[in-house]
Amino acid sequence: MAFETSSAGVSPVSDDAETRYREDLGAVDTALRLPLTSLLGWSAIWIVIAAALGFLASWKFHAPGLLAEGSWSTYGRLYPAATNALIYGWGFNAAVAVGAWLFSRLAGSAPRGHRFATVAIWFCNFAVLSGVAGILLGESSGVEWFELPPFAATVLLVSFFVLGSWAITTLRGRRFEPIFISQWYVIAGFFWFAWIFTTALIMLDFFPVRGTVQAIIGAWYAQGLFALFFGSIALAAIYYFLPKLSGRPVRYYSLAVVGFWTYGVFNGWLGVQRLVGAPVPAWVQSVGVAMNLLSLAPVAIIGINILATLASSWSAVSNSPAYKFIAFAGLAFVVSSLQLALGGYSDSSHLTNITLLGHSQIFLWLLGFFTTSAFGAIYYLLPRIARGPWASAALINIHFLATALGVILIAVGLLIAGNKQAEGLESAANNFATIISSLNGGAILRTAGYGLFLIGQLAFALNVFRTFLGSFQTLEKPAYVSEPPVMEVAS
Amino acid sequence: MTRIPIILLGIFAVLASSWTGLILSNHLMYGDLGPYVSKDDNKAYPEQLPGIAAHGKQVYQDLGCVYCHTQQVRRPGLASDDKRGWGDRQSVARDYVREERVLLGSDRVGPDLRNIGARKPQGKATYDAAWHYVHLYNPQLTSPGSNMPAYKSLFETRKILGERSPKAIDLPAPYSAPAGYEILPTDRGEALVAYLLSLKDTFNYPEEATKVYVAPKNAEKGHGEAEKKEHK
Repeated sequence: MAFETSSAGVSPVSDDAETRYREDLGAVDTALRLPLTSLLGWSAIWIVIAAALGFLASWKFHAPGLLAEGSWSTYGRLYPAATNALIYGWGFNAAVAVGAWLFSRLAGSAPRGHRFATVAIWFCNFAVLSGVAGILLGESSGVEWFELPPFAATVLLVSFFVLGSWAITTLRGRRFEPIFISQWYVIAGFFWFAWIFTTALIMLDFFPVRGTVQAIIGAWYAQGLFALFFGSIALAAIYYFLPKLSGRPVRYYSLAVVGFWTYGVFNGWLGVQRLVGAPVPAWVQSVGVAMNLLSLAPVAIIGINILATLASSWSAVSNSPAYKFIAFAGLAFVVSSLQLALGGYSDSSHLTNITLLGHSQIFLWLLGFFTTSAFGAIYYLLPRIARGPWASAALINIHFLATALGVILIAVGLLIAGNKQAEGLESAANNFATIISSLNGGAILRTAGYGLFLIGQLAFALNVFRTFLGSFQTLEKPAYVSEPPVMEVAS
Repeated sequence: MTRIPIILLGIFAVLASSWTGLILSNHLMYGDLGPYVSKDDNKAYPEQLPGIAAHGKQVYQDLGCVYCHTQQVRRPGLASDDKRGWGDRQSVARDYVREERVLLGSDRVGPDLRNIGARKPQGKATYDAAWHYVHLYNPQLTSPGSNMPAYKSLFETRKILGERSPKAIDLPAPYSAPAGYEILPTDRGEALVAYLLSLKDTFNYPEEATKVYVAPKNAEKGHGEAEKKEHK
């Protein structure tokens, strides 16, 4: 058995040591059971809410007559409610769950204070729930990707400080030094999220800065959220599970450290390229464009790691549902990153920021890269937390197919619509109404994608809850007894 | 490079650099930009929104208009904003200094609204209060094929008691109120329209005049030219 193939020094040497090692990992899973069950249960609920709201919003985009009576169901409220449910509901829970689990696994020790953490998780989820309801009722903060009303955002931040401290206590009892790149990504992701979220809350909500400095903070925050938080956790999962599930080491692993630092530095500066043409200082726009070019370096390095490892272990895709998701996420990372970097150099780059072209890249990143990698991690870790195999293999297949196809349709639909929009807006000779009605083809494709995506998430949530409920009846089966493939699917 | 403090320091430095470079520096550089007092009329530009328009901005914000309408005019030559009549000059940072929430927007599914209050009439589209009410009540009446939703919740239908209210809006036949009833905007509806009509960056700041790129006098043929003539 090849364990932790790429983190040298932790491979068990004898059968005896291997058994002890597995028992320790089982102990880590047991210690994480309470908070992770909460996080995973909530995340399953949130991804369904996010997909349903996204589906509705997407439908209303090309059929404005649908649900036209109330203010809550107008596109301008459904759309931010959907993105906030996705980010602060699903994304936050899933990222904390995957991050904390990876971190404990790799350090060989469980964090302390799981009751505090669980209370924080429930507080946070009720806050986000009321926040999303608040957006539907008109309490949005008005900052894109940060619409959560200030009261909900404050509770989320406090909860995150509790959860972050909880995860960090893992380091005190660590058995292995954080030498593996996944741990770096988790530490960094948690730290960076606390920083960007605090900045946005203070400088945009509590004491709003003056004028278009707000737009700069908004753009910086959004890119930090996508890349430095969600992207970091997703890359941590990819770097961990690619070798773990395939039994092959990460190819060109020595490059991964360079990839990590360049990824952090360039993405920290990158967000402002979304402000090209906006009333912000010209040098800020230039920095954004320059960083766009530089960001190709981490994409190339991390992309080589991912693609070369995938190529050397492609056969593992058929063995493991988790691996399918991770492989899809790896590919989505490369495509979405290239879309961002190269989009800045096309003829219509000054229009990318104010058309659906930009949204195509963001949603491929959020749904294709982050969400899918979190699914991969959850397919591996949930049975270990629940101490029982997944309830249904068929539901996993439905989930994968519907998610993969749905995400592709969403991204392609937005890409088609965005291209028409950018081409049309370029010249005043094109009638505005004609441009907008030409978007409907792509928009309908996106709605179809959301429909599929929603079906997939219903299958996922059903499977998660059936697995948890089933595991209460078979509680006596300790996780470390079963071999990984057995743990993944029941049948 | 495997020791925790060094890694943590690096992680801190990564974001500290961008936070200092992008957020702090911009805040220090133009975060205290104030209005400009014009010597001609002794007014401070951009002007403060009247109370009802400030309320209207809240309505604009909570209905999420920003997801389809930008409020940033691109400089002439970059895209076609000026030729579409969305503004005679590009938006500059000073235009936004009085706004508690800056709503630049990131998608143009609808026209840019930065200067909707100063937009020149185009045919039936008069862009006055009456036009806005009909448009908000049912966008298909003024802009057929539009994918903007109707905002019925900004209006109420009520029985006419005594005389018809001067605020009642006039709608074409199938949409008009039944006999004895009238349709009129709610307070929120009135506030929103007041806000829309207040949106205009028509003042040219002298110190920006040298920096801001304004369209050449002989603009290319198209919408722009027709509008300029009308303006004169």
